[in-house]
Amino acid sequence: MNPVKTSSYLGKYREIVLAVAFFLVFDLAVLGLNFYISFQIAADAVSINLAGRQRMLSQRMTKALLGLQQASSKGLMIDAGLKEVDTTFGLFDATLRSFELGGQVTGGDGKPVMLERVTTTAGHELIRQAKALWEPFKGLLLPLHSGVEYTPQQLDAAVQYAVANNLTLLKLMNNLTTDLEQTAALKADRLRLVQTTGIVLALLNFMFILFKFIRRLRATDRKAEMAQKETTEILDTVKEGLFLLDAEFRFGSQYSASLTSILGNPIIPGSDFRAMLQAMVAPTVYTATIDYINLLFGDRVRENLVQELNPLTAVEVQVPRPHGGVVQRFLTLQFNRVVIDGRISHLLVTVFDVTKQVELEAALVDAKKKVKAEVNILLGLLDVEPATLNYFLNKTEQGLLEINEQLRSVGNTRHDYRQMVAAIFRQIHALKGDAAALGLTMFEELAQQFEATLAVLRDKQELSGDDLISLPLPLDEFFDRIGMVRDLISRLASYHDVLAPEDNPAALSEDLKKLALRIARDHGKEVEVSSNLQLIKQLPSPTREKLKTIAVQLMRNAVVHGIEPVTERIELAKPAAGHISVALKSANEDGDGYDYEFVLRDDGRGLIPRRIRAALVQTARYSQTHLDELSDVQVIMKIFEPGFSTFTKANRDAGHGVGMDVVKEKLQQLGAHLQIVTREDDYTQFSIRFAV
Amino acid sequence: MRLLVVDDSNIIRSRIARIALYSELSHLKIVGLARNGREAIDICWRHSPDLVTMDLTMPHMDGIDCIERLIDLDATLNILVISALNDKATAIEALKRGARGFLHKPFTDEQLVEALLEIMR
Amino acid sequence: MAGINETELKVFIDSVTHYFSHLTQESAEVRSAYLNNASIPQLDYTGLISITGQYRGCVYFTTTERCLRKLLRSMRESDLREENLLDAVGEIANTIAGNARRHFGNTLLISVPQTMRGAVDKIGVVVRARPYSIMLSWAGHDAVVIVDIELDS
Repeated sequence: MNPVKTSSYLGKYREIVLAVAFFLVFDLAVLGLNFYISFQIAADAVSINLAGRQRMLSQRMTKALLGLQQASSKGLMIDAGLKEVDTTFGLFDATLRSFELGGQVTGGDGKPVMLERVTTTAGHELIRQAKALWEPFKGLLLPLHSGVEYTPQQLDAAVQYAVANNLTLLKLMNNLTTDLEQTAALKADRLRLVQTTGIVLALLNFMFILFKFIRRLRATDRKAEMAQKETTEILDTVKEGLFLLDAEFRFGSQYSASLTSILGNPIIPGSDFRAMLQAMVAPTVYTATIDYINLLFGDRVRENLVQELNPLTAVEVQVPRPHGGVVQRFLTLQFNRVVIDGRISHLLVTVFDVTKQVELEAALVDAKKKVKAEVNILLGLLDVEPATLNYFLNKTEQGLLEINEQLRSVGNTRHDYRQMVAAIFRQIHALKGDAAALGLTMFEELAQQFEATLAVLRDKQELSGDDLISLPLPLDEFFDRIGMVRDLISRLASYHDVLAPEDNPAALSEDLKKLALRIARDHGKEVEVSSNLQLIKQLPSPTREKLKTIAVQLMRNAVVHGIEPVTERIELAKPAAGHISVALKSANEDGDGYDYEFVLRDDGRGLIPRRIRAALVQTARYSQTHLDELSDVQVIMKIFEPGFSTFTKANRDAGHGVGMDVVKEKLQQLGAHLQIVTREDDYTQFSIRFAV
Repeated sequence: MRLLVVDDSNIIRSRIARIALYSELSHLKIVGLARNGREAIDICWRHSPDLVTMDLTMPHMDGIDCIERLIDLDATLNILVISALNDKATAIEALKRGARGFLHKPFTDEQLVEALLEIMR
Repeated sequence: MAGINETELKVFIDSVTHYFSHLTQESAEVRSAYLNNASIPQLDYTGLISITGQYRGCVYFTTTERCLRKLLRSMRESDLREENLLDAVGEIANTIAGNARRHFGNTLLISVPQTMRGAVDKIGVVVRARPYSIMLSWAGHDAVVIVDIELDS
């Protein structure tokens, strides 16, 4: 990995590295040239110096020769003069030779210096001319060389030669100096040019580097900025909470905007995640999570194979709310390794708010449970004796309709809400009792819920119409359930018809008996039922059904209104248990067109017009005068009007009259003839004759 | 690659073996089927497997202890815990002892193959 | 089954009561709430919105002509012709629609209000066996909000 990285690193900066290398090469080249030319200039300076000295030496030599000649002629000391001639001669000769061939000469300071040979054509020419003059002169001067005896003639010849040529020699040396100076000046110019060029190139190179570098930097910056911006955008928009966690459990510096709200805590980069976690989850979950995170930072476990063990999956947490208090949420914190250079540097933590999913799942489970429970409830209904169930349903429905009617009328008239709620509460409470007695759990629970809603209203200080808005809902639910059960019953009945086309008279007798006993128990009464319904299997199915409905209603009516409570019966010297007989007979022999006669007789208090009139007056439906106009038979027939008996008492017994209107309806459908025979405190007998 | 299957259920043992034999894992050589921790350690001594699937709840030394002993024997051993356990803390404990991954029972053939491939990666 | 709860019921009612209390000096009060199992109350003028989407059915507001006249007067509207009365009842239906949109978001599609005068055949039980009826009273006048919507399955 590393070499790849390095080469790509080089690759990224190759241009700049090359440019810098060029820059250095330029600089070094210019520096080298500089050195070289400086040496040249230094050498040129020596040449110029020495050429100048040659000028001076040519004159000094002449002067020394003249001085020597004068001193010799006057017989003075000549040693100094000889020495001067000797020095100047030697120096001039050596320097001239060096100018021609290059070599070492004694410098102005007496130290040896290297003298480059003259290279210019003009210089060569000057040296050649100088040599042409110098060589003969040198021959003339040789005898004067120290230690050698010379004659005055020789001296004179030398002086003569010197005087004759010294100006020419001077001029030559002068020209040489000028020539050398010109060469040097030329070199200096070239040097300046080279330096300038070098510097300009280096400068250009530098500018290039700068430009490139800045551009690259800016591009990189821009990219980084873009990346940063994109990262920020992602972090600002992403719904999930995102943050990095290091091996020391510290929050990274960047995290998504939603994180704070999901966790309900401000995030401080670098702060300890554990502190926050500990406050949010149960200690066991906390410990497991710390272990889990440590495992992920280790390199032993496979990330993909441990996700399932993440303790922070749909974990219930208490999240602080912005303005105090806590809210319950379900969060999933997913941990993923961030691997850099083969090393786990961080864990990327993704926080999902899964409250909705969890709630949905829970709701689904609930719904399934509920459906299952409902099925069980419906199956439970089958345990209830059909006539009793039917009776209960009718009674309940009637009661609910009345409640609804109360709600409707309270809106129109200025009734007392409190009183009405209390009344509804009582009705529902009674209904709950009925449902419980029958083991109809579903209705018992519904009533319980309704009661709870009502209890809230009952306990309120002030009641307004607003409070009533909640009431139609459970009411509606109740109606729905009744409808559902009815639907189920009718469907089961149709099964029953198919599967058992023969109605079992014994079963019907049993049903009627059970119904009578149950209602009697509810009302604190005792009854015995005798029945003879064998003929019912001869009836066509629709007739049979209608007759069953009639039988159920009449039976109920007999128990509730006919049979007296035990105490009352004892006072009347009757047996404690009331007796009800029910029979289906053939009516053919009468020859009045009716085939059958159904008779239901009870030994109760009788159907007394006086009592019925009193009850009717109480309902306020009828005026006394109106009632007075009615015959006893007409009054008795009022018991078949809808809701009649509900007005007899305003307690849980209200509603027991439901169904007598059904009897009337069925009788009409059957085209039956009804006869009622009754005597006060003795008996009531309903005889129904019908044809098939 | 040598595989050791540790599980107290006959059905699971033979199922894992079958999947290992007849899938893209056929390069695995099954060196043993152990019914409990003791048997597992015994087989490890003799056959030094590279890969172990490990149940957690077993008679005669449970999976957690067994993992620890196996890792003591061979620190490079790749252990995949396969368990129906609902208690995450116990499974995490198994990982702390040295298992590399976890597969939840019940599992499909594909899930097992995937998990074993992942653990050998 | 029922698919509507008290809160949702209140969304419809509150929009009407707020309408009255914000635009007039007198506030409307809920008198009662019940189930409509027989005749649907229809007063002189009716404003109706149909709803589809998560729920389907309709919600309507019905009131007397006198009530609307008084409403218009209290809003300093002197033109009390039928069009204006229909406008007023439509505006209330609009308010119900607006409130419902706010509450249910785009899970509901709500129609433009229809307004009508007198007993109109179009209104009948649409979805519920027993629509919710909420009786209101404003300045001594009666009005009814009928909520007949059900979860669309």
